[in-house]
Amino acid sequence: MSGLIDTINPGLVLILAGLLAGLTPIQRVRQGLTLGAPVVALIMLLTATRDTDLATMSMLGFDMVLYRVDSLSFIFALAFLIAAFINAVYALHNDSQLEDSMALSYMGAAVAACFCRDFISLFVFWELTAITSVFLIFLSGTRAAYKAAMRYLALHVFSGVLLLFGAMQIYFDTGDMSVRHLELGDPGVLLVFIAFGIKAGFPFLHTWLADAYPKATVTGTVVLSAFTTKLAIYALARTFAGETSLVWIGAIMTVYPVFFAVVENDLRKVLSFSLNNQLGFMVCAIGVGTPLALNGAAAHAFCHIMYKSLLFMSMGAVLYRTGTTKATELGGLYRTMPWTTVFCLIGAASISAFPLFSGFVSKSLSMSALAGAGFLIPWLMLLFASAGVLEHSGIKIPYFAFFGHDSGKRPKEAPFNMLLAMGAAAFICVGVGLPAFLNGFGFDWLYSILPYAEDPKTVSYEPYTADHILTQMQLLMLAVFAFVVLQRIGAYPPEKRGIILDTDIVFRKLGYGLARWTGSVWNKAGPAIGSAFGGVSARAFSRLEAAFSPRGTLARGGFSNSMAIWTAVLLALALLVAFFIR
Amino acid sequence: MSDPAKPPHLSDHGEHALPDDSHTTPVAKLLFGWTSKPWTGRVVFIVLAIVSVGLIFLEPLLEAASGEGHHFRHTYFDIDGITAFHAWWGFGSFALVVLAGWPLGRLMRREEDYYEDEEEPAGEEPHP
Repeated sequence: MSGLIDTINPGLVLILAGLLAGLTPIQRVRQGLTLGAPVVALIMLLTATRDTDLATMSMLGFDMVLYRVDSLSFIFALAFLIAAFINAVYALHNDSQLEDSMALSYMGAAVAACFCRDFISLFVFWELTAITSVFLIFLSGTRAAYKAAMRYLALHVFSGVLLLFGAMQIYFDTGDMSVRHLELGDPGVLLVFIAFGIKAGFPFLHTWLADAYPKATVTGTVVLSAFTTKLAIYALARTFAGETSLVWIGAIMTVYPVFFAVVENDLRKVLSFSLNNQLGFMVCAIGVGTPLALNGAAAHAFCHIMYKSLLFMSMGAVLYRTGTTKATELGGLYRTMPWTTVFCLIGAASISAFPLFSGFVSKSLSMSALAGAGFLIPWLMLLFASAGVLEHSGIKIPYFAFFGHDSGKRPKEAPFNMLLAMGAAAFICVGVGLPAFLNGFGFDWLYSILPYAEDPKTVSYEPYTADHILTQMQLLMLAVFAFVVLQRIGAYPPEKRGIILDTDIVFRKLGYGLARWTGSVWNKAGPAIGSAFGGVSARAFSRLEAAFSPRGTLARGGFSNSMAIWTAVLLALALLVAFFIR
Repeated sequence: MSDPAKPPHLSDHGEHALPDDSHTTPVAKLLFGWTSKPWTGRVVFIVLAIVSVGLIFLEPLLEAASGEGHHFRHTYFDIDGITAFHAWWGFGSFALVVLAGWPLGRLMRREEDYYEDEEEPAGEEPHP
């Protein structure tokens, strides 16, 4: 029996629990499923044998590896399962059968995808993440959410289709369907690269992120923030490590969302831009491709899942209590939501990479790897973006929600289960960021589960050097000082209601407008074309009728009177020909 | 009444009175009560100024203390060898990002119903 269990991909446990949750109207039972499934899956993951094909399948001549654990998939799946458990605690108050079901299936699909080592099964779970997650956006029930969800679904299904086409092309070129390191060049590989790029939020493919995430439900956004994009990061690390173009793509990804975030009014949208910016750090590290850099990407992904969830949870609590996350309508909430404020500040300090918090020990790995590889301009861009992160996630989020001008709102503190979930995420943010006073304590634990934990540069890497602490504090404190100075002289742009245009205007305005214009043209031209076509066909019919009908041209004259005889003669001739000439 | 610690657009939203603290929980008062005092802005400014200057001047001091032939800073490029490079870069980047918010806001901000029938939603009924 244990042999059978060892071959089950832990993601399937979550998917099964999701199916059961969908059939269970009793909330208590669903709570048990959402809390229990991640724990069972976590135990399965921790006891799994590494670097062996634990489950394989052959279908239509393709060899599929459905379950294989190695150090890279381990850290991503571990982070996913911890996040799944925390999300379950956060959503305990939520009595929605469909949301529980879809969230579990979505998280399960992401976990399962980490262990797939062939493109077919990766494709299946890749699409499953898209199809299940879209319900978390639909379920917030507004028209804007519906439309954003449709855009999200279209883009993500498209990503899956590209993945499948690319994989097929690769298979025809090489005869190998396994998920492995690929070199850009062949069209198939390029399609896979773009498929991953859509989910990873590459520049110009990123708009779905800030479009859809802020419109999902309170709990849905927290779930969404952890999985889809990090699955793409995992896939990129698996297949395109060392692809130099990723360094530049990543660097651009870190910089541009900073500018969007500073003018954005919806704080959950600010966090979505911030998420995009953080993905840039990971993509950049994957582009460098050295073991230290890949460790940096994985460590960053792990910590990012925790602190980004924490920030989304705190904004979710604000939304849950006040009904809005618009900066213009918030402020001064610390008075009645002090614990949410504390947890939000811990998330903010972590993402800003203050010493003693998780961002400090994870981001520094990739920054060092990038600088060590000699990429000066990307390094400066990432350093710029680090100050930008501090601006939007470190200061803007807590300041405008909990401090700033008093909105007069006095909501209750977040529900207890939300506080518990935030507390757990905050604990990890602090716990992972602490110096390694003992072996296996603080950042040492994180470094010990990295994909290349044995890499000599990583083993000897010490984030808490006086040099590193000082330079990081210089960067952060002077940036905070800049904030205070700009505030005092009135140069900080005030928050205003409104939306910020992004590149998706191309298809939301121009594309949609073009489609509508085409529609209205068709409405006018269609009947005209139809009547013209009708006229032509009517004329053709009347000509044919004139020729062949009983009263037509051919029926007139002597010939037609003996038509029956002529027909019989022709048939007889045909019979004779068929009989004698074989 | 104008709060000297904050520029007018942040402190003056028409309420012209000190925030009502009658609902503030004891934990909140203990942890964050200081943030809404009239002197907060000035004190934070002064403390941060002192810390910032301290962090900048600490670097040459530590460099000098590390002795002949040793370097306190581990630099990768020429540019990060400049004294307190991270401090200047952090201050400059932050100021650039924030000041860019003025033109960017004018350029890219539209009404909330810019995309017809999908006004950006609050998304949730409040549970106060």
